[in-house]
Order: sequence, then C-alpha cells, then structure tokens
Amino acid sequence: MSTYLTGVSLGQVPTGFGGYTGVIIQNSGNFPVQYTINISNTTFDASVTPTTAAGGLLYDTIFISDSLDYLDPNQKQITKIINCNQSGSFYILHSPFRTFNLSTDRSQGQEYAAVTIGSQSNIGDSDSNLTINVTGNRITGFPIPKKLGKFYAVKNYSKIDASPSLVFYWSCINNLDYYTGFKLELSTDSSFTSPIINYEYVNQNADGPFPLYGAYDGFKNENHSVTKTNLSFNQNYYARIQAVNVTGGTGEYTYATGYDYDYPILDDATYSGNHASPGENLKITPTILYLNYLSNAESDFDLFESLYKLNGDSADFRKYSGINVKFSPSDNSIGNAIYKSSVVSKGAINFIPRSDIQMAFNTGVGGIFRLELEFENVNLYGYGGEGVKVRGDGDFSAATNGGPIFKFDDVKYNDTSDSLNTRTMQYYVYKDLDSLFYAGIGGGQGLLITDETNKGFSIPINGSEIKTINHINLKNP
Amino acid sequence: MGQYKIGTINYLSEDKAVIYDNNITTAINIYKVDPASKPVNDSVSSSQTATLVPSVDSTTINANGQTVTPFSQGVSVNGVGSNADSGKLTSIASSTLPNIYFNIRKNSFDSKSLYFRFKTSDISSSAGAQTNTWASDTNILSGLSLTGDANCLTVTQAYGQKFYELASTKSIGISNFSFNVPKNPSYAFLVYALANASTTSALFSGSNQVHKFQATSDSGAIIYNNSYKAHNISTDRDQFYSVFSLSPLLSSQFISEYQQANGLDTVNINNRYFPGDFNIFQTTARVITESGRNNSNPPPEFISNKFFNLCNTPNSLASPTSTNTPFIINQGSDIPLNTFSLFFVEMYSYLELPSSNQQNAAYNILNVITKVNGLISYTAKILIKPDINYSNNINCNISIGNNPGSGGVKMFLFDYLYGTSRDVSSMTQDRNLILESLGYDNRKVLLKSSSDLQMTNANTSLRFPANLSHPFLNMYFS
Repeated sequence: MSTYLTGVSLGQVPTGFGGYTGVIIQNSGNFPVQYTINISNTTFDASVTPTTAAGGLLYDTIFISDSLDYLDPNQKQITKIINCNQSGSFYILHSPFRTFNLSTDRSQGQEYAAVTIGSQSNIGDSDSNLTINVTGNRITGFPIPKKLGKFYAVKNYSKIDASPSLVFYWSCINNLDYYTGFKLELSTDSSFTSPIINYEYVNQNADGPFPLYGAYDGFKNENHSVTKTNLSFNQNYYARIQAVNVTGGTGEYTYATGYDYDYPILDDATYSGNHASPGENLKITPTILYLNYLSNAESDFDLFESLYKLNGDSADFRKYSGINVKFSPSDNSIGNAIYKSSVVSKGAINFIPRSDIQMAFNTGVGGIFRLELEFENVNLYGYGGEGVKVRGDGDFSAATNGGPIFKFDDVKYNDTSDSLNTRTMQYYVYKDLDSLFYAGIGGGQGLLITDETNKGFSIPINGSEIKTINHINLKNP
Repeated sequence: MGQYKIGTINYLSEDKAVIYDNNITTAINIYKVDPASKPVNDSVSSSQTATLVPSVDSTTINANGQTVTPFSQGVSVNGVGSNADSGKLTSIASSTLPNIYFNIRKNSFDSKSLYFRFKTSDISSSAGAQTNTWASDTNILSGLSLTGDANCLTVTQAYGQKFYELASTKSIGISNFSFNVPKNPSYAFLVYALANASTTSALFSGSNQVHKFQATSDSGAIIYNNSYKAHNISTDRDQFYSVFSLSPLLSSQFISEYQQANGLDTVNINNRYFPGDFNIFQTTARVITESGRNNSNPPPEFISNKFFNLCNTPNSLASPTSTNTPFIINQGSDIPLNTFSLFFVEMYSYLELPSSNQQNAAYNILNVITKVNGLISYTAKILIKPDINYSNNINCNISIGNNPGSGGVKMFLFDYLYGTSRDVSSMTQDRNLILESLGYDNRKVLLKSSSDLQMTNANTSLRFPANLSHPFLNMYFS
C-alpha cells in the first residue's frame, strides 16, 4: 500500500439501527498483494456495561464483511488477494443489538473497534499495518421515520360479506429510513377528526444477523399492504399513513390515492407521496356491469337467467348499480338477428326474477338500479295473435291478442344494510336506427262466406294470423 | 291456394300478413283472381267498384290490370268475431309496471374520412342570436363557410338542442369551392327540418328547394346542375328533378365536349335497348345526341312529410292521452309548430363498370342516389366516358336554400357533411354508421325530449303513438 490516511471520517453511520460503509484497497504496486483485514473486539465507554446492556447481548457490535450479501457479525478476519493496479473492498458494519430489547438498560454512549489491514506481496515484501479506528456513538433516540410513498388504495368487493373493501399499498421510498411500524388512518371525514380505523402495523424483524428493523440501507423499496373489509358503499373515505418508530415518533403524513383496478400506473404525486391533504376521496361507488350478448336468433329470451349465470349462478348484484347488456348479431349483419316471442304471455325479451331466488342489487345515480338494454341491428318481434277460428255460423273461437316486445317485472329490493329504503330497478332501452321493435299484432277477424241464393252453402275463413306488422296495423290499437 | 280480393282486403289465404284498415261490416262480393294474372298495382283492392263486377254471363273482366272471374254471385261475406288487440311495449308479471325509458343508442363515427362538416351541436350563441355564416368544423377543414344575407340564420333551440333556422327565401352557400380529395365513391349528408306554424300537407312544392350542388368544369361551364327549375317533362333534363343531389365526381376531363357545352344527361339505364347493345342504345334512343331524349327517367317520387310527421307526438308522455301538443322551439320566446318534420338526407355516388354483356359500352356508369330518411327518393345513372383521367380537383358551388313556396314554411339546419370512402363496400358501412350517429346526435329533436323518454310508469304503459313517430325509430306497439 502506498497511500496512508488517518483521521478520515467514513461518513455518518446511523448507529443504533445499523449501517455500513465500504473501504476500498488499491494495489498500486507491481505485484499481487495479499491483504489480511482483522477487527478487534468492540469496546465501550465507561457508561456502558456490556454484560448487562441489552440483556447481555451487547458485544462486537462493529464488525466487518466481505460483502453485503452474507453477514456474519462473528467474523474477525478477511483475506483478499489483489492484483497489481487493481482494487478490492470490504465493509465495516454496525449491529447494535443481537436481539431487540426495549428494556431500560438499553445502552448509550461510545463504542470503539480497530480494523487492521496487513499486506504481503507475492514476492515476499510486506508493508506495515494500516489501522482504521472505528468510533460510534450509540443511540440515544430512534430516528424519525421519513415520508412514505406509493400510498394508494384499490377498491374491491367481497361477495362473501357483500361489502366493499379497500386494499392499501405503500412503500418506503427514501434511503436510510428506519421505522418500526405504520399508522394507517381511515376516516369518513376529510379532516381525520375521528378516524374509524387507527391502525398500527408493526414490521417484525428478528433475523439475527441483521440489525433490527431493517437492512443496512434502511427499509428503502420495501412494500407493504393491508386490506380493510366490511366498508360501506357510497361512503366518503379518506386515508393517510405515517411510519412510526419504536418510541412512537411519527413521520410526515402521506395521503392516499384511489384506484378501481389492481396494478395501477401511479402518477407522480402518488409515487412521491405528495398528495395534499386529505388525498383523494376513496368512496366506493357501485358500478355498471357491462355485458355483450351476441346472437342471431332467440326465442323468449330469459334475460334474468342469462344474467344469473353470467354472475356465477348468483342473483347478488349488490356490487353494481346497474347492468348494461349490449345485444348485437353474432355475424355483424343488419336485419338477420331476430329475437321473437313464441307465446303471447312472453315478450321477445323477458326479465322476471325467479321466485326462489332473492335478487339483490345496489343503486347509483338517482337511487335506482339501471338495467340498460342496448340493441344494435337486432329485430324484436312480439308474438302474433291468432285470428278468429270460424267453424260455422255463430260457431267460432275469438281472436287472441298480440304479445308484447318486452316482459319486465317491477323489481324492488330491501337490503339489510339499507332497510329503510326500497331499492328499485328501472329499465333503459336504447336502440340504433337499424333495430326494429315490433309488438305482436292481434289476430284478425274471421269471415263467413254465404251464398245468399243457395242457403246452406257457406265457406268459413279463419281470421288472419299476423307475422309482420307495420304502422298501418297499429293505427287504431 | 287461390287468391281472393275481398272488398278492401287483400286476402292471401295463407297465414301471411294481412293488411286491413277496418272491419268488414257489410256483405260484399267476392271474385276469384286468376293466379296467372299479375296486378298492375298490388293494392288493387282499393279499385273495387260496382263497374268492375262482372255480370253473370261474362267469364272474365280485367280489373286494374288483373283478370278476375266471378266466383259466385250473390255471395255475402260477413265478419265473424273481432280483431284482437296488438301487443304492448311490455307486459308485467307483477301488479305494477316498472319504469321504462327509451333513447337512441349512442353512436359515433370517425370523421377522418370527411372532407368537411357543418354541424350545429357546437353552437355557443344563445337562442335568438342571428348570423349569416355557418362555419365548418375546424377539426376537419377550417376556413370553409356557407354564407348568406345578413341575419339569415337564427340560433334556435328545442329540447336543449341548438340548430339554425334559415330565413324564408334565403340561402347560404359558397361559390367556386375547390375540392381536392378522392371523389369516388363519395357521399354527403344533410340533416334539416321543415315546419309550419299551421298545418300544411305540402312542405315541398317543387324540386331542389333545399340543397343545390353544382359542379363546374374547368372552363366554368355548368356540367351538372340540379338547380331549381319548374320541370317540363318534354324539354327539361332529368337532372333538374333531384331535390338533393351530389355528383362531385364529374370533371371536364372525362365528359365529352358536347356534354360540357350542353349539360350532362341522365338516362334510364334499364331501357330495353341498353343491355343488348349499347351502341344501338346510343344511336336509336339518341339519348346523348342533340336531338333530345325520349328515354327519360320518371320524375322522382317526392316523399311527402305526412308519413314522417313528428308534430303530433305528445310532447309529454307523463299523461297517456291523445292530446297532441305542437313541437316547441325556442328563439328567445317559445314558438309552437304544428308540423315539424326532421329529414335525414343521404346523397351518394359511385362509379360502376358496364356489365359483361356491355363490353362495347363507351361509357361507365355513375350512380347518383338520394335517400330521405332511409328511403330512396331519387336515383340516376349517368354515363361517363371510360377513359377517365381521374382528377381530384373540381370547382363547385354549394347552396342550401329555403324556397318555401306557399304556407310560410320554416326551415332548420342541423348537419351537413361530405366525405369519401375507400370503395363502395366500405362506403356502405361508412354511410350506415354516419346515419346512425346523426340519429344519435339529433336524438333530442327526434324524440322531442331533452332526456330519456319515459314509456311506462307504475300505472300504465304510456302511449307512444308509433304511427306518428319518426320512421327512424322503427318501433311499433300499442
């Protein structure tokens, strides 16, 4: 070694929580050199009684390591061979306790260790040892945690308890940030005067080789999440979070952003945790369920049964404020898709909830559940009534009425969480210009042809059964 | 099965559609129709009169072009039972009706295929404001304006939707406007309305009172002119019949000198001479010669507004009565209109090659078609020299005018656009989508409602008089 330095500060190491600094050895000679690095036992100043401090586990808190990947606080020597004009490194690290203990004999004061570097070249030359005296000031208080980032909530719904939930995510985004837990507050008011959730979340870490509560670089890039269930729809929610240390010290608040889906792309404010108070309103609003139905031919289409199956054999639609079903031809044609009714008692489209299944749903704008039916290039035909059946003079069966286009039930529902209000479903029908809505026309009058010149001769003609209609048919309905 | 004509009924004796206007209340005569005979007009039933009844001795008569033989004299036909009722919009399983609302499904189209568009949905002025300029959508083509006399356009509002009223006897337009886009195939849409404060049955008294599109040759001569002119079948060219027309494809590069000088004829492509030998058709029919024409298309049948009358639709469906309320527009003060008809005019043209048996054809065919509210109102086939040098440049004049004739007809402008498509097939899709979108854009006026239209409530199915609704709605129920 050709360069000798003394009295060099190796940088601030946050003692008490562990830290490290690297040492680089440069071989400027002409031959490979073997370096032997030794570290002494850690000594403490007079105020510290190692045998009693930290439950007797306060010893050799300053140690060395060849890398940060594997740490052994009991390691006392490292040997490195460095070729000429190359360099090598090792780390000096600090581990204040072997096991965390909040007992009152927590140590304070100075601690010392000496790192000695010996060298010998491969041709036998040796140099005098280089000594690095390491001095640390033991903790007298825990550092204040820094501001957290990436704090957002994903809105979700649990079919099990029929209630919405919020899944909170956050991360430590700063170097050398240390904490022992987090305080998550979820409030229904934006001033957080009486949060409904005042949550303490402790990050446990009892891994012996590591210092307590984090790695040597603090907790940077550590991610956390927690799910809060049994929340309410249409309720204002605001959330903030701060990291706390073991003595209750808290960091700066970070306010939450809300998302409706997992793995969102975070905006800058959310990423850095710089949303202004109180953050976004995390209100969970029931949404519209969008469905597509492609078909060219249907008969007495049972919309309830279709939705029931699409919802996983469930009539629980409390996650939704409405359902939007877009009907269109499976072949993208115009005029080919015909949905019709086969009996007068049914419509081309029917929505009648089953009597054995309680249909449950939520509400949205206007306090109603919207069942939206969009028709694109679809023809709806009601059932055409049968005409008069003429059997003879005075002997006939009456004509029957035409059927409706739709058959919709007036669906109402009382939810246990909303017992004072009856939830009502309303229907919204949207059609494009190419779709046709034809109700069934009533059966026609029958005719009886009689030869007046030769009584007894008569021809019965049954009334008409109408298959197609136009506006003329319905002039005088 | 035989086919019978019974009174005012056309009875097919099959289980197919039977159209009837009223019940049979009196005994009528019945005749058997020769199945080999085809009626001139299938609605022959309305022609049945006493003079057409064959005598006992006669074997056949010809009624309205159809051979009719007496089935039996002295035969009476009496109605049995009654017509049953038509279906409703909805029936219910419970004791009360749910609320059902209706509207036009949302649609939009990509405007990148448009060359220009004038629309009214972006009007910011208040109702009653006046201007003389309708500026094009700057997102498509900026700097294009249709202008007219001062204050000829008045901002009008109905059911929350704004549009322009074009003053009576006024027009807006642009002259010597140069196109520089592909023109085959091409299309234009004009959405407008006619209305009258008092009842009128004829909102159009003649052709081309609304839209005029003139394409001029490079020399400035008019080569296609659908300008208004009182029609004289013996002297006028068919081109004057088109109320709305679009033929921007034409240019001096591919029509004859004669045609440039004298205007381009339209001919009946279905003329019996035409398919057999195009040259004979040219020479014998002399369609394009100086001697005049004798194979003209029949005058286009103009579509009356009586089937497309929105005016009598009840303004409010909250009360299912037959009380009709007029269409209400707002120009600062509410103005009721007893008649109000919204027209979606679709004009398009495309080139067609002669069929395989017309290899000697000296011309290609330019189809010019106009549809009003989805129904063809005008078609023309124009012969174009095949050795076409396509040019994307053409000068044209555009004019939208309000020539009301008698009765003080009001005219309202909603949308006017021009576009081109890649080919005829894609144009069909483009036009359909544009038409759907225009229907959605103008849904408030179409439905006479600023919001979703309520069609049923707890007590009853609110009557939506289908026979009075706009044909675009395509909804029929009682």
